[in-house]
Amino acid sequence: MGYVAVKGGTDAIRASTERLRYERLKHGVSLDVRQARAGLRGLVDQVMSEASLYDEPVAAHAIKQAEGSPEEAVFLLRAYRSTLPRLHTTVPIDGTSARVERRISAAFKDVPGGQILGAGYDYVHRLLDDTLMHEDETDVRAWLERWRDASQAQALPNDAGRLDGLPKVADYLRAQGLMEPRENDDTPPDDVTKRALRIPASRSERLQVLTRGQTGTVTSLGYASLRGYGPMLHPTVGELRVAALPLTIPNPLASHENEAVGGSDPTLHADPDDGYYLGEIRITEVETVVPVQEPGGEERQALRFDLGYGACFGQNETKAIAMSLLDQCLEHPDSRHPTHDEEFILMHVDSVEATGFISHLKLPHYVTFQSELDAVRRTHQPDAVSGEEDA
Amino acid sequence: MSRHGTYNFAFLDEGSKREIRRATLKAIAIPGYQVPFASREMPIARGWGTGGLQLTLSLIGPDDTLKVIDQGTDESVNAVNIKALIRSTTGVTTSDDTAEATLIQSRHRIPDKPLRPDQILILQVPIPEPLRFVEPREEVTRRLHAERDYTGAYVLLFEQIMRHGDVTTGADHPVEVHDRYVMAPSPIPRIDNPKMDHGDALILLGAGREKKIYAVPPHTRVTSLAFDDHPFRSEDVDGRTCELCGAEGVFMDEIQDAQHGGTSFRCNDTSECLARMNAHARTS
Amino acid sequence: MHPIPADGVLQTQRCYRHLVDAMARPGTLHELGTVTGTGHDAHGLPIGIDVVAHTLLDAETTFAVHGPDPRTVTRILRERTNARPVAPSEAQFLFLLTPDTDATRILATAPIGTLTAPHLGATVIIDAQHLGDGEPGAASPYRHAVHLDGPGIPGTRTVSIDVAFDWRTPRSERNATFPLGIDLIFIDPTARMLALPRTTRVTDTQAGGA
Repeated sequence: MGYVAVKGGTDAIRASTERLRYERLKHGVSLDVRQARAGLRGLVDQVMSEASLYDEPVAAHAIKQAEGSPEEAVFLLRAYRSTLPRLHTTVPIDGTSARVERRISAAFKDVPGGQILGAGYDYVHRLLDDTLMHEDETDVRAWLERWRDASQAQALPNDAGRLDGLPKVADYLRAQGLMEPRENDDTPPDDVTKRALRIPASRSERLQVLTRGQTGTVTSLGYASLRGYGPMLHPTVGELRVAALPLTIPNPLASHENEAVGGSDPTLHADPDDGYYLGEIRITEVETVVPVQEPGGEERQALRFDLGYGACFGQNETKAIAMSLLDQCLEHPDSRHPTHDEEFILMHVDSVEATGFISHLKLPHYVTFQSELDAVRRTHQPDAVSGEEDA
Repeated sequence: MSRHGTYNFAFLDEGSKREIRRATLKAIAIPGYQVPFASREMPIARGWGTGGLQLTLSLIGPDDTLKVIDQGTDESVNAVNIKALIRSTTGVTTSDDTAEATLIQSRHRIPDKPLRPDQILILQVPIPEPLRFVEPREEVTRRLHAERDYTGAYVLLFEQIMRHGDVTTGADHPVEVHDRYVMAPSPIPRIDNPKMDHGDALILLGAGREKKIYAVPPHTRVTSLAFDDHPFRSEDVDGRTCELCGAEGVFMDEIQDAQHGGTSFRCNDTSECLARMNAHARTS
Repeated sequence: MHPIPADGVLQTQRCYRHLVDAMARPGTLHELGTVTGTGHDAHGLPIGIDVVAHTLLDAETTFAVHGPDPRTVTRILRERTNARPVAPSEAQFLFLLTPDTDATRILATAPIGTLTAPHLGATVIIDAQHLGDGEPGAASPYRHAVHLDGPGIPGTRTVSIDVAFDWRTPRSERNATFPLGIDLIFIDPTARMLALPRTTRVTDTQAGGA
């Protein structure tokens, strides 16, 4: 009878998988994916942003499978995203075309278009509401009916209540000469999912990595920058928007005029009126303004405003603000300060990479350890420390 | 077909495979140099072999026979998991027998049995940058490789000798490839480093999280970093005998004997150990 | 049930394995015809070259063509692979399909990468008249038996590479400062393939050579 390998690993994995399933089902309930989507909006928005995949039903599915763990849900979504073919790229979007649901500015008391509070947690008291323990579908339907009736009664005349086309606060500062006017740069952005990030990073790479970053990590690093880990920024939220952004792709049937050198990027030559409208996504967009010294060193240096930009899928306000702070920090690199160190920030904010490498410590390392044992033992051997007598 | 669709053969879409394939061919053309690639997210966590996995998936075809080991064993949970994923997305035959395999994906060991020209070894790499412990910044290490400035690596070894009387790297002792690039061989024990020198098989190394692919072609010079008066030394395996198959001179796992309170040793390369046990059984 | 590879998927995988082995063992001869068939496609592009292009090119890459009908071949490759046509001195992939002095000149300006990014050196695909193992054969002005040594080659290997333009001189100049350089893939009409990465030293079978 020959010797065969002991097949322990396969059985152990199977048993572990079953055990995991038990943990998800032990209360006798299977979470309804539609309920997850409807009732866990905050978690859905967080994982869509960290996964950089905008699809609420799929996000809710991942949340169910991950039992609500953002780390696991983002992992599922990123792996799924990895397998999807990349068919089209949208035309660059003018942010003012968004239809705002919420729009505030901390920089001015009032702004053209108004301070629109919208739906946010900033104005509620964080007190547990007992009525939610007994809320059922009848209550929900009744409440929604009252809401709809009230909305119709308050329908606003066209002009006063326009929610799209609102000007950016930053444009006001530019018009006043207080912020540098910028030419639109519609160069196709670098794509960190198609080509590995390189330090120093382009701005498009920087923004992509930040928007895909773990919410907690981005928030904490932004917090550190406010608390003085680095030269003080004195940021002000010029504008925060939670808005519905329309997406358009260039006409996929348009003929390619690109015989010559210059490439086949259809968005560069796209006719703006000839695009296909895909739909809307909800995003959070923040423009933070920061006073900086104007370049051109004379004795008395004027100040001007510079802009930090944050944008995320879904309603992720804290993350978007923190992102805008880090964008400004990294615009002024300084390797003495971690929040101004591009490599430190961009290499460590990704959820899948950070959680993966940390969890890899659970893998067996006994070969490397055996090798270390040998090295350590060798230093205890008499002939190894021959230099000591002469010291 | 479910909404989430049927996966492509070998899981990755063809675009991802092409990216990995292009990077791999350049890695082979520039031995020891870390080629950046756009590492895809895999269903297995970063840090758990996604680099090696992407290499295997870009290479594998229906005619291959696949062996996957972790810490020298085919039955390690990580190896079993990776094998299951590859099998379910390719239907490829797997084997524990090194001699039967055409592709061998391994974490932290080079098999004891010498590899053949028709085999490809794929090593999983956690930290591809041999200078990372000297210099945390990727921007700087890239320049150091460009300028062939490896003083940092030698200084590290020198400091170990000064402090401890000998080099104290454990596994992942850096090597020089084709007299040009200093390379991290992955956390293989030092006893495996010489197997990279003028081997018969192509060795590919993949770091998924760090997004680098590099290679050692067959018949290529690979030397472990050392000083003339402190030559490179492997782990000391003298006096150790495998309690299962009786082998000597190979890398062993140290087993604490719970019953008798002593130490015993077993071959780390479990499939070779098994092969020796079966060979003894046939001749005895 | 595992996914069954579509024909195209299997073909590129097999072609890729040949490319890997050809690069890892420079000078070995690979019969791509077993994967691709032989001959030319409807536009006159040799099938071996066509399949190698399909294996390596896509929307993320750039290429240039020097050949008998460059505009047509460029258009075909672009439509089939979505790769971007650029000037030869910027191309990641260079197709030299006509053996003339222009081919020599173009090879002399092929990108060699930079010290921090040597992998950006070009891959050059050359349409060869004949590839062989260095055996003496019918005399031909272009039959060129050479010795090869370097990584991937135990000792030396002798091959014959029949290409009717001077590729040795520009290759030698481009590859003068390793790690910078270009990597060559030769394919002959029988879809036989041979690769010379930048690490391979090429010398004449008589004394001397470069």
